[in-house]
Amino acid sequence: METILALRDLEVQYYSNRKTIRAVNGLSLDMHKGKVLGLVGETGAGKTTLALSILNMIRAPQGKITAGNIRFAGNDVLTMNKHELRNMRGKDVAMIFQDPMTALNPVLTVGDQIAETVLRHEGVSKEAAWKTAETMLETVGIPADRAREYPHQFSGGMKQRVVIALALACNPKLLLADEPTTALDVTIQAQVLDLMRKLIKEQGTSVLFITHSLGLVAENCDEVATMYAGEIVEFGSVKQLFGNPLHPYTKGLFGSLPDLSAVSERLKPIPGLMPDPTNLPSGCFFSPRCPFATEICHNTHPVDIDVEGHMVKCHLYTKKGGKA
Amino acid sequence: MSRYLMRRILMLVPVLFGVTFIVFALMYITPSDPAQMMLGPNASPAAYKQMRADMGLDKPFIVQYLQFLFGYKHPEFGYKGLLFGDLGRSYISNRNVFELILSSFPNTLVLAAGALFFALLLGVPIGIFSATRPYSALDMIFTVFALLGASMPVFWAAMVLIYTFANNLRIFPAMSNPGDVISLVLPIVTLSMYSMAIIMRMTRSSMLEVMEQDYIRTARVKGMDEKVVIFKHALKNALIPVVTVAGLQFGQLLGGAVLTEKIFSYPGLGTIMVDAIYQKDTPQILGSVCFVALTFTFMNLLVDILYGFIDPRIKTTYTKKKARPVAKRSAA
Ligand SMILES: Nc1ncnc2c1ncn2[C@@H]1O[C@H](COP(=O)(O)OP(=O)(O)OP(=O)(O)O)[C@@H](O)[C@H]1O
Ligand SMILES: [Mg+2]
Repeated sequence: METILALRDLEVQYYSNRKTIRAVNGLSLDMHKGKVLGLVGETGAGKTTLALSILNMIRAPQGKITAGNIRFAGNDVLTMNKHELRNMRGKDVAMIFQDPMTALNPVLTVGDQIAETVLRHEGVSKEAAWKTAETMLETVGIPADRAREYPHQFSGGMKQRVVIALALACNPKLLLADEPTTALDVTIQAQVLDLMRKLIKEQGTSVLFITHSLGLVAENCDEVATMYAGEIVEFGSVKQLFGNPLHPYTKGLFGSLPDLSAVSERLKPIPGLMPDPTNLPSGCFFSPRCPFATEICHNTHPVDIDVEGHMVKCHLYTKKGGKA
Repeated sequence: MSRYLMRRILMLVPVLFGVTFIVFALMYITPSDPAQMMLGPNASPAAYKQMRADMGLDKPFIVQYLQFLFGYKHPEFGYKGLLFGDLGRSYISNRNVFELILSSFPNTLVLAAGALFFALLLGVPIGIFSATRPYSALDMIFTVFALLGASMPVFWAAMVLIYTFANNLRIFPAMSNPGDVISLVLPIVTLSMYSMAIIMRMTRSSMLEVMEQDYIRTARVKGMDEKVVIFKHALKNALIPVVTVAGLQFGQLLGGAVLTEKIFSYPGLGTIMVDAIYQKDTPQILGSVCFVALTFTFMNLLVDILYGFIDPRIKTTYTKKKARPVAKRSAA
């Protein structure tokens, strides 16, 4: 499998009210070409922050990538200059944001917002860029003659489709889809996902699919990563994670249901709260909530353990991969 | 024209009646006596009584107000009324009140437009600059200037300018008239200071707010250049409140150039108003104040209409669109 994106020991911090929020903490993750990676985790786990970091979009003074390494298609994203970054954003790596209601500029027509991206990256004429915009809109099921309308003239589901058309307009190699359907109702959700699946398959795009819904992961993804307090605590194929979740947090999310068909739609609530990112516990970040926590869990931070190609960050597996 | 605009224009009617009523009532309760004015201090009580009757001043307040609106018939003191644009003649100059106003209004317009133009010319770019570098040294300096501009009394600013540029440096004249462009510089600068400060601060805060919006992040994630992000994506949104402020400022400049005009002896509406007040010239005061109030109200309407050109959310309410079954269905 060809690696398209490699994150190593990534650390991202935000600064507010003189406090340091440690949103991403020593995170490592590989994404493979043409695969869809599901990223699940509670709110505040740092999923959006991770996606923005890949685009080097964490901006001072709010925040900063303080350590680590991001390689996209072999290039070091963190040492790129402004120009290289702008050429990558929107062209090689595109992002769909969590909220379609606010992601589009209210005073520009949707056609213009798509066409300007094409114009920026593809070196085509204005007319050709506009044509592409219209084609993209039609691809997502919006009549081309509505390209001259403004975002407020579209419903929520249509706006989300515009956002998808926008993200896919330049055939990105990597798509960061941050909860692309959470803002939509269930029927439109299914439509939009079908559409995304189709487009991704056609273009061979790799996707980071951020979601709260395990059902969507099972349906749409090849690989899954579980994120907790700014770390990936478990990583494996969908089969591995759904068939044999290892990390106590992942198990908690699945509600200990091993049966794939009976997987619940939403993440199961786990007793307790995520640790305060301004004051992370020593040892394993999950230890305060973990039913299996022992002394070592409270004192020593766990490292990644490979259990037959299935990665887990948990002390329970330290001794020759024994089960909990 | 759309229903929105029609409604906006219809709403002017009660506003205008309210404004004229207040102006008339205020004039009515001020202790000035037009009949006495006309006759001079030595008139006999009988002549005085006759004069009050001739001028229609012996009637009850509400009748006088209706006369003011709809006209008053009298061979010497009659007029067609405010609704027909006639309030009779000035007691002092004996010229038709509105003729005098209309002849001086273009002068005021030149001054106000110049001041607004100058205020926008500097205020908007500086506001944008400050917003892209908030709390930088330059931003701080501009903030201090804005504070000074907004809090400096007009007469003082005018005096400092005259003292420096007219008395000492002798670059610009201290007296101003509309035919001489050079002489307009000092009053325009004086007049624009406050507006510039307000526009600068408004642009800055509006830009700062817009730059935090999700769609700006979207533009950056698309790889747009920072120039495009600022001038295309942010500015158009940020200007919406600036247009309101600029419009209100213009309305104020049109009616409030009183001090500046007086100081620079400029023959505008402000000077006419001040003179009319000094001379207790009731019809002239009534006419001028009503005229200024109307101008201000129309300015507000104009701003609302202007909105449509920059904010498509309002523009779509202007032009009635045919029903869109597709949009309706997916919105449901
Ligand atoms: N601009 C910011 N300034 C300060 N703190 C921030 C900022 N953005 C995010 N955070 C903090 O960083 C942490 C991670 O936030 P992030 O938005 O990445 O979480 P998430 O996993 O995407 O959550 P959700 O599922 O709710 O979208 C949270 O504690 C959040 O409060
Ligand atoms: Mg998020």
